[in-house]
Amino acid sequence: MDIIAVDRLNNLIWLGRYSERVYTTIKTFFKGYDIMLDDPYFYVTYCERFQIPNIYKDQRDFIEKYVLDENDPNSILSNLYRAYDNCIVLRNEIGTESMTYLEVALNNLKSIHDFDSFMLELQTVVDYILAFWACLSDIVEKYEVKTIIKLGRRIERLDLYLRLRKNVSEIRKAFVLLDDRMKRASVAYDIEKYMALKEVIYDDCIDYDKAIYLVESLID
Amino acid sequence: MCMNDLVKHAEKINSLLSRYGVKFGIYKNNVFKEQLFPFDCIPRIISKEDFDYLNKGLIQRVDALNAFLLDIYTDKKIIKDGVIPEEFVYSSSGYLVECEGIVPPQNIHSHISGIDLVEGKDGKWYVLEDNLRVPSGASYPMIARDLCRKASPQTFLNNNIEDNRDYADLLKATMDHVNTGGINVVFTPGRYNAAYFEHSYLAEKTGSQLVGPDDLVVKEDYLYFKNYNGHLEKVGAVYRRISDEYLDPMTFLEESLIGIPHLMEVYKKHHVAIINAPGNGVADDKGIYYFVPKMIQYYLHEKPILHNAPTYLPYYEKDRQYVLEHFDDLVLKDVAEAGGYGVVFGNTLTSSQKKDFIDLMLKEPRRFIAQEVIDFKDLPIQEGETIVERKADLRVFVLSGETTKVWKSGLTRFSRNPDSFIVNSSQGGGFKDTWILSQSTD
Repeated sequence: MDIIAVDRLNNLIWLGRYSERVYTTIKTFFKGYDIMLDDPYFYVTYCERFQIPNIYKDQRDFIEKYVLDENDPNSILSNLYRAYDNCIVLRNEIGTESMTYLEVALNNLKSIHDFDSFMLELQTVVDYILAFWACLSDIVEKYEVKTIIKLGRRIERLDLYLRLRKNVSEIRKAFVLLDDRMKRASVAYDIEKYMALKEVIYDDCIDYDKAIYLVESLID
Repeated sequence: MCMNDLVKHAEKINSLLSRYGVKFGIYKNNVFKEQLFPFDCIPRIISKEDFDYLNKGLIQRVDALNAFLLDIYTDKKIIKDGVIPEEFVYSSSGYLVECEGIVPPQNIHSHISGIDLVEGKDGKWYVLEDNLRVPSGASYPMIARDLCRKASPQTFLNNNIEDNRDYADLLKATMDHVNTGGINVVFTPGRYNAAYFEHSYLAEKTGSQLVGPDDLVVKEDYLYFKNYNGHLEKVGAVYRRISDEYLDPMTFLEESLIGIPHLMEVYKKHHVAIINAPGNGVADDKGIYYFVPKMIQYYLHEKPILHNAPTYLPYYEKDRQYVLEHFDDLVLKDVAEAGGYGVVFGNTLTSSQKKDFIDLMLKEPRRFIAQEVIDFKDLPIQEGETIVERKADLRVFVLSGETTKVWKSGLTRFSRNPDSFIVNSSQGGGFKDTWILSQSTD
């Protein structure tokens, strides 16, 4: 059994969750931004889908704040900072080499100044998050460490997909990935809620809100 | 020395340092901020001959300091024999009565000693101070070397430089030597400590577990690490990165929330090693510094190899008179302060400030030391496109395990302010790599 401190267990899960949140958010933002080019009010729908408060004056304000405002708790930058904050205390578990990829992702995101042409920089953030995950798989020796981060990622992905009201097939695909990790990670979770979640996901008609509640309460 | 390549690649090196998050924390207006530690890629170069000399002198000095610590918490022969006045020991804020009678594993008190030196313009090296509590800084040249080699391999192909990337091995061997059975841990006060980068980096590189106060527990006279699965792992050595007073709330500051309750009981029973031992502050007190050459003669029966900066203790009548007569030529240090604070250059005070200072010094003579201002060598620093000269010191790390070893590198810190002698990172200073040449220069 690997040696991992109790507090670090939470950091591992949240590192997985926040890195996944940044990744999925940027990918969703790419699609949303493309729609906004033709429909300047689409950002309102976007906020509704993500279930985040629409505190933005207009589309331009939304784009700038949603990407880069560290005082906006829902911004991509705020979420990347949270991933980084969890990462920085895990050097012992994941190694300096892995951490550098998240460090570069953060540096690249912070370096965005020109909002007329920032999509390529944003793409590099996605690239570095993918490289970060790949590095974890490649160099981290502790099986538990890798598995717990992935568990966090799978929880977050299912949670986000449910919030975004993705279609049944995508939701079930996200659930299968989570199911696989649940079996592998030796992390305590609420089995009854997990079974209930499974039932909701495989219902003919998914109760999205109930499923979100169940995903959020799987692990203390 | 061919280091043009290194200078040419300065931007690449700094970008790698940023990528690797080589930072230190600082509190400004009570807000914690992390910033990159400014790095100058022109290294300090120490010849093989100079290093051989420093090596001998540093081993001698640290061995004497360890002998002093062992003596002072047990027999106190050095006091009984009148070499050091007892008030200098017992009034030192670093002396801990709670450590009386404790003999640490393998008799070693200072496992990692950070000795601050400067090279004078006269070519002589002077010891400025000994840091025997929690000296920090080794991780910076360690990682900087690694990144410089990556950015400019040619530089390292063309120069005969001792590899400094063995620090983690030396540190691990030092920890293993005193380990009482169990895992090694690096004990950090947490993420918002100024040196957190170093704590986590050294834990990673030595294969130790990085732990905070909630991760450790004392049970039946042993110290354990709490694994996430509920299992307890015995701890044999704690490389603590917090000050003595916060170490154990049951023994020291009871309001400490970052300590390990009952740790000192385990330590007293020799069931765990604490690196460095609590109570070492008595030996790196600025007042005790004056007596280090005497310690070397007393314990080792040898002539001191390294020079102290000429130091005067206002406590002694003769020295006090000298300090009053030469006040403007001296630098005065408050022995209770560290990190470049509490340092006053006599010639910078107004007449009323000078009067106040002298009054305080006469009232509390034990609290101050005075030193001749060493005109230490300036080192070249790259500033934009130009090269400028700045004051720099050198912290050398001496590790005491089975034998005493000097790490063939060190932390060279420089002042970024042209008029300042203060090199501390907390006051805006930067750092350089320190090259020890592996072959004679002639």
